[in-house]
Amino acid sequence: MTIETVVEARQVRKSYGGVEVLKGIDLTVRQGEVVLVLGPSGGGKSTFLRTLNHLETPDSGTVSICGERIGYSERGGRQLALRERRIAVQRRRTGMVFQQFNLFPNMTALDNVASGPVHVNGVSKSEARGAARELLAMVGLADKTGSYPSQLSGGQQQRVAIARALAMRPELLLFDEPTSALDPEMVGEVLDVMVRLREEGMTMIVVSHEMGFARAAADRVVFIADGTVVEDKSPDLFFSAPEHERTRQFLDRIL
Amino acid sequence: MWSWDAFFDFLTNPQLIQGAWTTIWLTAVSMALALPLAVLVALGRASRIGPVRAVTGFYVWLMRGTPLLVQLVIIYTGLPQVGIRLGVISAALTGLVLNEAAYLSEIVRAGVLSVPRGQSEAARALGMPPWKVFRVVVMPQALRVMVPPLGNSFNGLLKTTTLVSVISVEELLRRTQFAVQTNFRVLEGLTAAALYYLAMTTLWGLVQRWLEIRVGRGHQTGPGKGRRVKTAAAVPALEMEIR
Repeated sequence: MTIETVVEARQVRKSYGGVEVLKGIDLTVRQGEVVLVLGPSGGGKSTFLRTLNHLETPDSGTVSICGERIGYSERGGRQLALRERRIAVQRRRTGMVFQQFNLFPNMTALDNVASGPVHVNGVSKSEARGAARELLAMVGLADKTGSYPSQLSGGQQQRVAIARALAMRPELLLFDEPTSALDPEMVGEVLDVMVRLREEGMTMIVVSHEMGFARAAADRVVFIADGTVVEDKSPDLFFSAPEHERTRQFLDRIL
Repeated sequence: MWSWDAFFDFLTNPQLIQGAWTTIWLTAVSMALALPLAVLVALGRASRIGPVRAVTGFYVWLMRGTPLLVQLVIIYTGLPQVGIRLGVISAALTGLVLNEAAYLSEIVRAGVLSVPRGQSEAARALGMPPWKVFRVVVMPQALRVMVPPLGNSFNGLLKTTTLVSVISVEELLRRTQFAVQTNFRVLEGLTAAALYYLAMTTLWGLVQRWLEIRVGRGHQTGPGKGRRVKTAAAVPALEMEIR
């Protein structure tokens, strides 16, 4: 059996106004793996995550999703930046869930979930809504199809956002601090959905501080600080036997 | 002396009714042509290409910095000197559209800027190409912010059209002035005209309300359909809007 590589990032670098926030990050994620990305704020976790679907353009280095180079094409050893329209096609393979949910406020929960298939894949509205209804049922919101985001709690909004990402049938889901904007009692309902996705074999990269999720659902913990990958190991080893001083400092502060 | 008879004669004068009709379609056509132009200008001012930004910026600066009356006279009376001859209506429309689009472009710009960045990012993350991001996600939300000031502009334009009477377009004011010359009942005639304007702007006010409710779907603001919930749960969404 061959295990497919879904994400392959090599030496990803990014600077903002002379400050290097990503100093050459490598990451390989295989199909079905759940990778939790931990690290101090400002350490480059979110920026790195956003280079994986090219919402953030790396200054150098390469990102490949399912073997396809993201954002650039190579011809005769030269790199050409792809047009936004081409990149849009590449993004269909990855779904993203944001800290602030970013649901479309003028659409119902159902139409939010259907928006990808309808406006990206050209699926008919009725067909997309049928599929959207199933996805909303899967995240436990069968009774909220007609609600607008402003009528939903944070936890419900984030579950709609996950359903919206799933509607595009992505190979990979990126979570950018999916529970950080939630009240504590709503964190669980979102994590439950994420654990279920893992059981169904979804490949996920999760930037989060949820230690419970790290222990219960992550295959690997990647610790990013000061723009580099400091540690990359199983949750057990990460929490019990961190190799680096930087990791220990961080763990002391948050545990 | 005020004469009610003269006043009602003016109110029912077909000349005035026709003039009012001209005012309405002049406003509607100007607005309909100015709005797409304004979107282009707003996009131009946000362009990455320097010369495009410069040209559109210059245009807005010029149109907003000079009186419409001067622009109209230049277009209708001045341009023939360099061989550009426009009919009355074409000249009036050209002036109104060019002038209005400059102002509207600022409204469009503010509207587009008011949509949180996270919205277009979510759309891009789904794989929408740029024009879909703009049309499906950004524009509908920008419209919600734009409708009140756009409505004000329409209301203003209804009254601004009086200026084109100067280049002899037979809109409501000019028709009224003609009608007044037959009996010199200035007070009654212009009061009747004022009532027509009031009726038009009031009617527009109703249309605008309806539009605001329509584009405000999913938002707490506005009266809506009475099925909005105002619980603590709605707060994160509100915060998002403010950011």
